[in-house]
Amino acid sequence: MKDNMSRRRFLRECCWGGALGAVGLAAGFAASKAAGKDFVWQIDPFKCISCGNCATYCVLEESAVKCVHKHAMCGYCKLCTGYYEPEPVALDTAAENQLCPTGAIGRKYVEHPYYKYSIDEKLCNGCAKCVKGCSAFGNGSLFLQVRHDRCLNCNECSIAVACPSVAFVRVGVDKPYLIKGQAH
Amino acid sequence: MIRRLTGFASIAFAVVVFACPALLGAVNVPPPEFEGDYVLPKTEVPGPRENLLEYVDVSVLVLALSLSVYFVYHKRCRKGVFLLMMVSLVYFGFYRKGCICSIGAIGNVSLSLFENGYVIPFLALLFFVLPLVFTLFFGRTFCGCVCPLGALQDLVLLRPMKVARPVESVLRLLAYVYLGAAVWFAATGSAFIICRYDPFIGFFRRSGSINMIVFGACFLLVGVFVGRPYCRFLCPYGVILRQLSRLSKRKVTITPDECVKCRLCEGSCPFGAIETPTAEWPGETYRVNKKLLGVLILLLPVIAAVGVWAGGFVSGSASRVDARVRLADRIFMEDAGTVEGTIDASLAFRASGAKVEDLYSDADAIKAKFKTGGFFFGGFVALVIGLKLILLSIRFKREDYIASRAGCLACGRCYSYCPREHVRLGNVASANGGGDL
Amino acid sequence: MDGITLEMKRTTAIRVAVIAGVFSLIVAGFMFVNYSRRLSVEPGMEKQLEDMKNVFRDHPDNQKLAGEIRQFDLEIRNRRMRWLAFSGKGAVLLLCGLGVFVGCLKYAGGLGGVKPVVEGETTDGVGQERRTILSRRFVWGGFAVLLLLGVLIGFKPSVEYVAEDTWEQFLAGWPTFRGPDGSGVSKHKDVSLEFDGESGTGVLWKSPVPMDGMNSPVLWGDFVFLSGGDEKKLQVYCYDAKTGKPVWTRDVESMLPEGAEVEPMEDTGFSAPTLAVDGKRVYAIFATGDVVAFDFSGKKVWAKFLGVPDSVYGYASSLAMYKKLLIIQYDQGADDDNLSKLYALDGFSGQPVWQINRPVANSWTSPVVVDVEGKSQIITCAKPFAISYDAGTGAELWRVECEAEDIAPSSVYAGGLVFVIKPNDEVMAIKRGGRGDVTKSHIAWKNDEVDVPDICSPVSDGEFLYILSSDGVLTCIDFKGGKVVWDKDLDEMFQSSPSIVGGKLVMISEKGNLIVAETGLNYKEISRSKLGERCFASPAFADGRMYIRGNKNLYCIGKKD
Repeated sequence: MKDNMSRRRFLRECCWGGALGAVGLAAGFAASKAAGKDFVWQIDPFKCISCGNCATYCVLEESAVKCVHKHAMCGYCKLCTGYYEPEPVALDTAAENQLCPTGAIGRKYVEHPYYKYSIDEKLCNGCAKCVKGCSAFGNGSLFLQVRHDRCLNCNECSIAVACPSVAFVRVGVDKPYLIKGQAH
Repeated sequence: MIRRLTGFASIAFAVVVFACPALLGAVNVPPPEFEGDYVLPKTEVPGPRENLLEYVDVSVLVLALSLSVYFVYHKRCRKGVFLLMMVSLVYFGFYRKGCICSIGAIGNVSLSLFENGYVIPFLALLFFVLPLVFTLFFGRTFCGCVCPLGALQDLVLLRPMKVARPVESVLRLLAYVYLGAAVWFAATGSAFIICRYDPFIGFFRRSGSINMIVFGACFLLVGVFVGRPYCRFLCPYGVILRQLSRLSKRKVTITPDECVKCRLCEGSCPFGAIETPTAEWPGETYRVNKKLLGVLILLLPVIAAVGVWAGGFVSGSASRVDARVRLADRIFMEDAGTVEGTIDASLAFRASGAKVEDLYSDADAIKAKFKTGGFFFGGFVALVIGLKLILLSIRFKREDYIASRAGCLACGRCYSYCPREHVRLGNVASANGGGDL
Repeated sequence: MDGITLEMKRTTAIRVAVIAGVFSLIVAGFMFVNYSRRLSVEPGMEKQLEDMKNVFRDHPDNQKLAGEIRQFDLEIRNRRMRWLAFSGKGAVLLLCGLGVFVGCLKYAGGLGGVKPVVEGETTDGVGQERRTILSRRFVWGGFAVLLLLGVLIGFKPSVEYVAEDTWEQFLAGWPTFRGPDGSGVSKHKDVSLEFDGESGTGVLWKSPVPMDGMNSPVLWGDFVFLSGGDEKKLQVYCYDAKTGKPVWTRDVESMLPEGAEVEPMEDTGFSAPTLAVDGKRVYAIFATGDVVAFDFSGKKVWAKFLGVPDSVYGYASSLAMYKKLLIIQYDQGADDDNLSKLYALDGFSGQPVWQINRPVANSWTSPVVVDVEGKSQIITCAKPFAISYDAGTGAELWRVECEAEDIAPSSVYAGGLVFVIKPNDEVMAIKRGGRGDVTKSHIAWKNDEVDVPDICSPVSDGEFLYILSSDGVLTCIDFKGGKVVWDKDLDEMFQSSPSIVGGKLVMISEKGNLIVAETGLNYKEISRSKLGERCFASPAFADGRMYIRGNKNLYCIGKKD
């Protein structure tokens, strides 16, 4: 009886050691290629097709994806295809001529014949209408980026799941943006 | 200027018809050189959460796990456990918004084990490993005290009802299926279904799709009456912890010293984790059971084989979880004319100029992976079922009321039901009279 | 123990719980109502705003409407901000309410003290045995259910992919202007080249073409495709190659914006560009900037508008194809207008895969897709550059200065040399393999002492280059050195380009006279056949057959089986 008990215990110990070893092995294998830094989600602006999913699929009520403007690339056009509806009636700042549904793009005269366009991020909903307009016939200086002050960095980003062009990628936390015209 | 304007207008018109994707690097309008003193504004890039804060996360996890051991074994104090649970719920749940999470880390670990290109963050790895190691030493104190999903369900448990053993046995199979599927889909690099279908994360984030919120609310509603339904019947991490907990160095005991078989604790566990003493079985059944056990052991390979076959059979459909397979299917059907029109994904693919042959060979490779994974998945689930049947046919002998090694979540509820505990605490004077309380 | 206090605590806790519960319910109710209203009302409002904007576009002077639009737009935006604020605050309130509710209930429950055993499990042997048996049965049942589910889910068979590759077939046929590589050289040896259009001798069939067009026939399988059009109507035709019966005729709806006008010269017309066909679809482009794709059953697959072309004589470049990409050379305006583009559209969807700005002026040449040392290049020619692009990506490979006005003859590639024609000026031969501007490095030879064509594209058999000027002078040039071997005045006017079939030169004049001559060191006319009507299009060649588009009819020349 006593012998039986100790055999049982021995078996237990073996199993225990085995389990610990297995956990350690799996962890070690994973750790061998683990990275100390974390990863965050970002949009590759060159793959983005401005489908509009970013505005609706984010788990946040107000998407973490916003439009950003790379001013150095901008043509400062008087007729900005990212700002104006197709065939605008007049080139002013009236609501009926604006493309942005939330009025998040500001337009300001700089010098003849240039106009500056800037994004009010509080209003932007990431619908990418302006991105589409800008990249079709402008320079593509308007593009979407995940804003990391808002992004929860979900393990499985639900916009990434819904992204038709696989534009969502994981990037290192040390270089969390993919800004056009900058080396990465 | 007028001429220029009309020129632009016609271009603008073309935009409507020509809904094209971001055309790479096409500079249509050269950026101006300003004569005035205009300064180019910088593009703001607000940084993500400090990487350093992750050490805080790990520290909180280690601290919480250590405290859980302290409260469960040392203090034997439900109040402490409850408090710790609430702190965890607030920190990992509402503050960290349920992400990072040990349960979801299963996906990251599986993917990193099978996909060479994927690099797992240390944080995710530690969150996966630490509770496992703690469980090997101290049982499932993670479930009872630290896990925010468990804490939320524990909190809403108001009117616990018993789930009959047979029902519990079969429902628990779901967790194994879920675990198998989660590893399967994550290892193929297709989806982190644990994260996708986390029922409570919507509450932690205080936003989410209406479907997931309703799903989570239903779980909580059921959780008012059934103790921790997600933990017991679905949680894939819980399944791993269950098995490790069977081997743990220490285990939760209802009584601090000896069981007086007073039956007081019998109804105290809302999770059905208290095992009652076994009675003598009626004479005939012992022999019948022994025979059955033999048959089941012989049948185990057959059951496993059926599982392997079923896993392979289902893998074709399952591979549609993968976005690339779905895309390949879609492109193929569009080209063959079996579906009408296009979708965003197929348009994006076609506009990318990528070769369809590459897409198809990718999809075929993923499908092959799914098939292999399917064999393992099916085999795993069937094996679990087979072993469960075998376990149900083995007669274990118990004389005391004990907390099941596998099922006990170390919540500490049963302690106060035990008269011996009250003796230990000095609430009751007589050491022998405790049983009559 | 002081039971009264406990009881009081309990009642208080329960009362608080009730209040918190009611509060949570109210908040949840509000949130739900807000959510469902948002779902039902907002899309409608956005649609309405869109409609209002559309109306406004047609009546830009309606200031009242403008005011309404602004008001409405503001309202929508305000609603959105209100909703965001509400749902954010609501969620916190609801969570707090529920927290208090649950907390109080828990507290009240905990005050009840240790509960006695309510429902234990039976501990007698029979009960335990029954439970075990039932558990086993349930597990078996679970197994069965899982298997059934697996079979149900797995029943949808997975797709066996077959990537259809029609590229080989494309290269073997006559799917674009002057053949798959735009060279005008047919691989077929045995093609009937003699006939009499008036008597019908040698003509297999003749079928009227409803509308005028300068474009040449293209072939795939049993189909011949053409297009035609004028300022009112644009059409695409499909003929049965065996019988000549029209299979279908489709009107193309122009997307030319209202008020915009396209006025091509009469010599160019609205449908000068030749179609392209890729085994699944036929593509057509018109002088209006409309591109359209039809499948072989005549169903419109997609249509695009490339913008009103700014072309002096009218847009005339034919379509080319590289695998699944439709290549469009859309040259317009002056060379510094930054308007010219080269598009590669996905054939299936019309989605642009790439597009390249071209620093060139409007031109009337067609792009050719040729295989140079295993890599496909798109060679284009316009003022002031002949540019070659990588066919897959559109990346520029090389360019050569080509300063000339009104360039119409397309380039051809043969035997390692690219031939570029500066109308009325000179013929250039460019060596392959260059990168960047190769004007100084890769020009094999130039010849400006010949009758350089201004419309017809050249043709080469890899030994000699043949050029045909529109006033009928055919010149044979030494392939290697660029020296004139012979020239011959054919005494006809030409708009179509010469071809080489089975080692013979084939040319068809404006009057409709088809001249067949020998290639080689001496000029020797083999035959001259009469079509009987005027002809501006280059013929298309198939095995044993030749298709010629006259200005009224489509002819199929060949022997009866």
